[in-house]
Amino acid sequence: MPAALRAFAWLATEAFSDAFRRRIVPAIAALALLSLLFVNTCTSFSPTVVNNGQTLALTQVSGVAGLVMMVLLGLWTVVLAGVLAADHLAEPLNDGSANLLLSRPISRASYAFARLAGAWAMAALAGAIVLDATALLLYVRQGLAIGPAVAATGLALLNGVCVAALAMALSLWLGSTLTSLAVLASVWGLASLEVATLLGSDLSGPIGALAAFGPPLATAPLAVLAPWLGPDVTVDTNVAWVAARALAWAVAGALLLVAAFRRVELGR
Amino acid sequence: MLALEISGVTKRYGRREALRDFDLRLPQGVALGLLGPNGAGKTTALRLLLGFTQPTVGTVRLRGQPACGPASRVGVGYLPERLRLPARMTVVGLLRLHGRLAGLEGIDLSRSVAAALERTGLSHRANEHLGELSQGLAQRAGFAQAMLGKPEVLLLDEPTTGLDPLGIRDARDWIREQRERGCTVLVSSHVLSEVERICDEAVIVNEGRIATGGAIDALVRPGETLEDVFVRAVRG
Repeated sequence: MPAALRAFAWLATEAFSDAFRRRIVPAIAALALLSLLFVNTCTSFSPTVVNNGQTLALTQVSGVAGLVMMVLLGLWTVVLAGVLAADHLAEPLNDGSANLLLSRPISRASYAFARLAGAWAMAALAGAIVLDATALLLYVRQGLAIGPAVAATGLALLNGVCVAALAMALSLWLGSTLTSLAVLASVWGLASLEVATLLGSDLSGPIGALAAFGPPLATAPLAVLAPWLGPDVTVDTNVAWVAARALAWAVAGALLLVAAFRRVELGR
Repeated sequence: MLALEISGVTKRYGRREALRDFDLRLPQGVALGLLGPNGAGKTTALRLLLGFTQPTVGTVRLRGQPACGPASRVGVGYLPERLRLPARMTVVGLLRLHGRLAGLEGIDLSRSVAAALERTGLSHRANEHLGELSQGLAQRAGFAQAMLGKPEVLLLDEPTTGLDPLGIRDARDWIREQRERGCTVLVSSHVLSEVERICDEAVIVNEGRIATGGAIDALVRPGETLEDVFVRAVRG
């Protein structure tokens, strides 16, 4: 393995360990557990109802409920990635502990990517557990196909890269508290715009462009989970286009982070 | 090859000039003391050498490489003035990470880390978290990481900060050992007596400019101390 890649691997491992040692981790674990308890309750209903001796399938109802749960948990994962990233680079820069590492033969890009990877991996671990457990419960109890759920998990994690990278870049100027609040507001705002567009609202101007071309935070899981709604319901989105958008935003976020970090004067 | 080279550098922060027409060249194996009052520009010079900031005008090279790239920092050990260590990491964890980043692997890494712990008196505290260490012990850990991998260039910013008299004596020995094996040492310090004991040469910086510099033996006239030279250079 080339020396630069090896150094990145060590830094990323340390960044993940650092994320794991943080005081917020028990809170994340508790939140994940609460989410799973909530999901357990929500998936406990029977997918069939017997009415006057006739069995009625409620797959569409369970599909809608499953889709809402998966989208909300996907957004939860994305917010978690952003909040964790909001101080994962800013903190070692502010307290000066980053300077020692950056005095070694490693590039700023390598350090920034390693910190991003550490924060994202922590969020991805929590998110993947919650989303995959939800998918499994929906599959076992409601008979919903597991493939779309796995794809939705993947796209939520990809969206997490974008939001974490943008949050990390923003934290270089705003600090971690304001960045965390900005993450919450932006994810909620953007997801609302996307849902409004999917429900037929005609958004124009920059807001419409943001809903159509911005990070597909809600659109991505909605697009891949659409088969759960049954053949009668169609969601007007192209899965390949949405996935490409998510990937493009993840790459753009990471590049923006590196560009922003290169401008920072260290050790003042 | 020069170990480090700062040529015609001016560094501005907004309107303030931290360094002005600054020139410094240091051959391999020399120990240089960078002296000056607070705010003279000593730390800025070190930050430029490490690529933490870029000069407004001029060029900076470390080990023959432009200081902005990571290649210039191969074989460089650094101890900052305000040492901040990741509180949640253990002493041995810090040394292993820095050893790896310095290019050590396997048995070499384990041996170097053990030797650095032993040499700085931290062997029995290897598994303690850095956040639990006193300032003096943290400074020892800082020295240990800076000396890992036998660096060719050692950049030390106020290295005796927080050390007790025994620690100061130890630090002096550690720096002397590095010098003796041919390491180039740049020490930024307020403690003139330390610089006089450790270094071959000194440069006195005042208001971002080099006021005077050269071999310490040549700078200090008979009957004078380095402090007299310092006062004369700074007050004029």
